[in-house]
Amino acid sequence: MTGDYREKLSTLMDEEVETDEIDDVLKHLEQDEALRLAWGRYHMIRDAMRGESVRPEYMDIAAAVRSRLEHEPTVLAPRGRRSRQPHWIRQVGGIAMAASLVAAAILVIPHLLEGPGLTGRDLAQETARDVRTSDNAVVAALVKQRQSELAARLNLYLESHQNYAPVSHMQGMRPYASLIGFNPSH
Amino acid sequence: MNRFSILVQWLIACCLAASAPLWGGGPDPVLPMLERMAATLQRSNYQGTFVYLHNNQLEAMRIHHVLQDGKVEERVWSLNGSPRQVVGDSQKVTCIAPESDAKWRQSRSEWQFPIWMPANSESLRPYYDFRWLEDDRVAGREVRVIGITPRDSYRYGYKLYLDRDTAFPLKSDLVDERGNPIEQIMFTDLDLQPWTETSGQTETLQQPIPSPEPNAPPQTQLPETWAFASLPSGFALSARETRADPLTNRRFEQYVFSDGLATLSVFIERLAPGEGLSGGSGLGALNAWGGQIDGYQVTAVGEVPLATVSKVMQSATRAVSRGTLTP
Repeated sequence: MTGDYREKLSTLMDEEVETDEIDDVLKHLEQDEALRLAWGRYHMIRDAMRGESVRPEYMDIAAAVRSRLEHEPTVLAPRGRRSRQPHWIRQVGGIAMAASLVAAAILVIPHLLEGPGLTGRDLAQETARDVRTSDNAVVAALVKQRQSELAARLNLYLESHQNYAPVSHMQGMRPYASLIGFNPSH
Repeated sequence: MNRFSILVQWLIACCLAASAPLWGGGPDPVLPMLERMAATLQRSNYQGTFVYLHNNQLEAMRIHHVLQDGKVEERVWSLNGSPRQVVGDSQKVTCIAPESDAKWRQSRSEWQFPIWMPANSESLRPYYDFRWLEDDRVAGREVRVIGITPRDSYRYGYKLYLDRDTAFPLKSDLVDERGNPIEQIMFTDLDLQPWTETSGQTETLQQPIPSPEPNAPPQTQLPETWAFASLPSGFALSARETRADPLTNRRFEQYVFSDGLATLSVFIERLAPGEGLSGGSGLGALNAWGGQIDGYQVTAVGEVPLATVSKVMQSATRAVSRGTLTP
C-alpha cells in the first residue's frame, strides 16, 4: 500500500500526478510519517542524480510538509500527464535502485556530487543519519548492502580489466598504479 | 630562372621540410624513441619510487621490475596509506589489499593480449597525432617529451617524458582532449640497469605473439554472445573470456576492446536491476558506464572518456547466434 503511494509521491514530485489523485496522495502524506520521510529522501536523491547540491532542509521536509498541509490543503496545479512514471524514477526503476545509484556515486564519483552545498560524502553521512533516525532501518541496511556489493563488483571489474592492460607497454606502470590507487573506501 | 620561380621553389622546399613526418623518415623521428621505450620497459631491470597523482590525491609507490631467465616479475606497492600491492608476472597478477582482508589472484588470460609495439602501430596514426614537445628535466635527468594527441574525443592523450639516454618514461601524463592532465606518474628516483642490444635479454619478445582469433570460443561460455554495433573508430575486439568472481564463483563475461593504445573492458552478467551500476561514474582517468540490457547487467570500464564507455555499453546487443562478436 505504502509502495503504491510512494510511486504516486514520485509523480506528484514531478507534477505529473492526475488531478483527481492529488487529494488522495496529500491525505496519505499527511497521515503517513514514513511517506513524508520518503518525500524528503526522494528530493535528495533527485538532486544528487541531477548533479545538484543537496539542500539540508530536505531532512526536515516531513515536518515542513505537515505544516504546509495544515494550512494549504490543495495548492498544486499539475501539467498534463505525460507518462505513468516520472523522469527520474523511470531512469532508475524504483527507490532501491536510486539508493544504490547514489551509493555508487558516493563510492566512485565523488566529484560529480561535489558542489557549493553538500558533497557526496556529506550526503552519505546525512542520508545515513536521516535513515537511522527514521523508522525505516530496512532501507538503511539495504543501502549499505548495495554499497558494499556494488563496490566489490566494480573492484572486481577493474582488476579484471587491468589484467590486460599491463602488457601493453606503452602504459608503463600506470595500470598497476591505478589499481593500487583505486580504493573504493576513499 | 626568374625570381618568381626561385621564390616558388623555395616555398615548396619550406613546405616539404615543415611537413616531414616526425613519425618516421625524418631526421629525428618519434618512432625509434617509442620503440626504445617499449624495449626498456620490458627488458630492463629497474627499481624506483614514483608518485601517482590522480583526483587531487598524491600517492607514492615503489616498483621492482626484474627480468630473469627471460621472465618478467613486477611488484608495485604503495608507500603511503594502507600497504596495498600488486605482484605480477607473465602468468598471474596478485593484488593484496589489507584493509579489505582480501588477497586476490587472477591468472592472466591464456588468450594473450597483443603486446603493443611501435613497429606495428602505424594503425594508430588515424586516431593519434605524435609529435615532439619541448625538452625538459625530470628526476635530475634530461628528458625528451613526446605528445600523443587523440584526433577525436573517444580517447585520452599522453605526454611522455623519456630519459634522453635510455628512453625510460620518467614521467607520463594522461591528458584529456584539452590537454589537461588527468593522471600523472613521475619517478623521483630510479635505479635502472638498461637493456642493451647485446645483453641477450630478448627471449620474451622474440616469442611469437599469438593473434586474437575473434571466433575462438572461451573455455566456458555463457549461453549468449554479444555484439557491439557502434564502437568508436579504431577500437576492435582484442580478447574475450568468461571469468569467475573468486569469492562468489559467480561467472561473468569480459570483452576487451583496444585501439592499440587505449583499452576498455565490457563486463556482462546476469544481475537484477539495481544490483549493478546504472549510468556513469568515474575516478581520475577511469570511467565506467553500466545499465541493463535484456536482463543482463552490462558495464563498460576503462581508462577512456565517459563518452566512450557510454557509447560502447549502449551499443551492446545480444546476438542471436554464437560466434558473432563484432559487427
